[in-house]
Amino acid sequence: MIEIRDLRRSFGKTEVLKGINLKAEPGKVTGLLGPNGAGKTTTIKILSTILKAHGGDITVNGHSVSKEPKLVRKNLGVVFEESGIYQRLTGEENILYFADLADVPPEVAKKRMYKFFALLGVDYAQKLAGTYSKGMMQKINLIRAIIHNPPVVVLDEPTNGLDVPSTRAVETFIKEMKEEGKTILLSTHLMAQVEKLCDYIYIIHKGKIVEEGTPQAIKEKYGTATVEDAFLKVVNTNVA
Amino acid sequence: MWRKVWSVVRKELKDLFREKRTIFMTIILPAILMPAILISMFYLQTNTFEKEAVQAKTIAIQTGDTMAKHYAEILKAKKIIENYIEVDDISKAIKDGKALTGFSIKQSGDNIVIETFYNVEKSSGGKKIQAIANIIKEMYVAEYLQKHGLPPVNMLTQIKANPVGDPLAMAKAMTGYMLGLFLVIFTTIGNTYLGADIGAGEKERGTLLPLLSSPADRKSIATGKWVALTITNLISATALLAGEGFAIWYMIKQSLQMGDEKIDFSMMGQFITPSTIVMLFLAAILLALFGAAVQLIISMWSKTLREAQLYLGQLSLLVFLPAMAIIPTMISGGKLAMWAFYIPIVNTMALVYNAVMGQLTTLHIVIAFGANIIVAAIAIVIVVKILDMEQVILRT
Repeated sequence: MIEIRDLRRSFGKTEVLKGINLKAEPGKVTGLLGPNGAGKTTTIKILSTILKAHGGDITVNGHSVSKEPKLVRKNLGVVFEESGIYQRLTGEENILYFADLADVPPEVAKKRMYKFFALLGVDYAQKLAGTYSKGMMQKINLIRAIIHNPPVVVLDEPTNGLDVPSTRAVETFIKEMKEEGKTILLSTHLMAQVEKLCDYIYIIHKGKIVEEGTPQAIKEKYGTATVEDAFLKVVNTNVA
Repeated sequence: MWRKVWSVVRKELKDLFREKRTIFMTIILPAILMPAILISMFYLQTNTFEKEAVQAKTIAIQTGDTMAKHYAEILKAKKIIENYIEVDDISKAIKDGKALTGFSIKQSGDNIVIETFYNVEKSSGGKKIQAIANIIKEMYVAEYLQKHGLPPVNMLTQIKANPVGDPLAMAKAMTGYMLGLFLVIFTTIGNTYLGADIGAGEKERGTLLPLLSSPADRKSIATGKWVALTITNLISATALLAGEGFAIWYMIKQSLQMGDEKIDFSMMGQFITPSTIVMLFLAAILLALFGAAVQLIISMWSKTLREAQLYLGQLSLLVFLPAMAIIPTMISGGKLAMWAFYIPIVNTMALVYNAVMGQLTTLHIVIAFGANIIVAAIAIVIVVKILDMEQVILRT
């Protein structure tokens, strides 16, 4: 479970987050949508203990990000949009390194890793990561983030730049995690993906949550056929 | 915590040593370059001395200078010189390399004037011909006394030499100074790339954010990276010392085979003993501890790999500034003040110098290690703080 309460953050004199409230529940995929610069990545960086909040707080499975960052990180797996992997290590070594840092016994980590390899169709993990394509790298990135079996998973643009088969594999994987009862917060620009995966969505614009609800409810509210159209209406309504 | 530290260390070493540049800069360069420099310097010096030695055996005298010829014959018979040549112009003969020195004698009544010629561009000629001129002077006086029925001069005066102090002191001082200097230069320069990669490289590759959002605490990450860098610094220093060791062993062997008065490196065997080598390794550990701490701070602080390499490259030259304070003492073979053992880098050079000079005490070692471990601990605290500083983590 993720609970964000009145989250505020500024960079210099610019207030980037102006009191965000959000709740993501176990067994559901919660979407965080917004145009570029809306505050999605800042929210995710505060959630993952990289940045500090200037007001409000976030709890991850009951642990406060500001007071218990170590416990938060234990309960959390994050895939950052721009995160890379160690090029001179193999995919397996990358994953097992993070498992080790999370105190996962090697035999447990390996078992989990091979299961994820089968789900995502990874058959290249013994080669050095420097030889991977972006899609191959992203799959390793995803497995690395959840190798310690965290109950909460945050995905920032997890399919950005991937081809269709890789995107499909990642989406299936997200559904699997949801079935397992994990809390998933998904930030994406791909509205078709939102409709396919998300149970509940928050639309963030200029540092504020401007709309929330199930995809169906939002579409009905704005009288649109797709979430994309509803999203554009929400954003355009809140231009000022 | 230590399990995670070890995990970071293993990953960093694996990551670093899979890079060919790392192996080249850390092991091959210090191990090969050092003996290459030392042995080529040795041969250059040896050739120069050998050439001068051959020239020095032949002395030039003026054609028609009967008195010079008379004494040259005596010197040759007494094996003080090997040969002499008669030339029209002594200066020209010396300039042309036919002889290293020469002399002429002009007589006026009972008095004689001995003129010496030598090449000021060479190191050994002046003293040698001066000594020969003194011998000629003594021989002339002896002949003069004998001619006038007086006792020979060597019955009147005798000179006995009593050298005071350690005859190897200067050789020790120079060796200690050079070894310390090489150790500092090559260990710091050799690891510039590694130092840069371990922090700034993480930022550039985009692996820092996943690492910092992993369950590992900042202290384990910082300590693990520091230990990994210390190990690579130590590998580099060991390669360097092995290279230096080989070069010294080679030079000692070569100069012994020559067995004459040329540069005699065999004396180095008297003060580079197994215990000196142990002390050199201690000094290397000392340098590795401190160097890793500084490299890590700069690397973490830098925006990019290139920026970190630039800072670390410049830093490896800056490290000599504090060392300048003790260089005059080391070159003159003096005793180092205790403060030198408190300052990192300076204490590495001081430890090497004192080890070679045979002046090292347990207190020196304890102070030097204590100082560097404290500095390294402070550095780890700084790196942990840096890893919590948003403006540093997000600098890309």
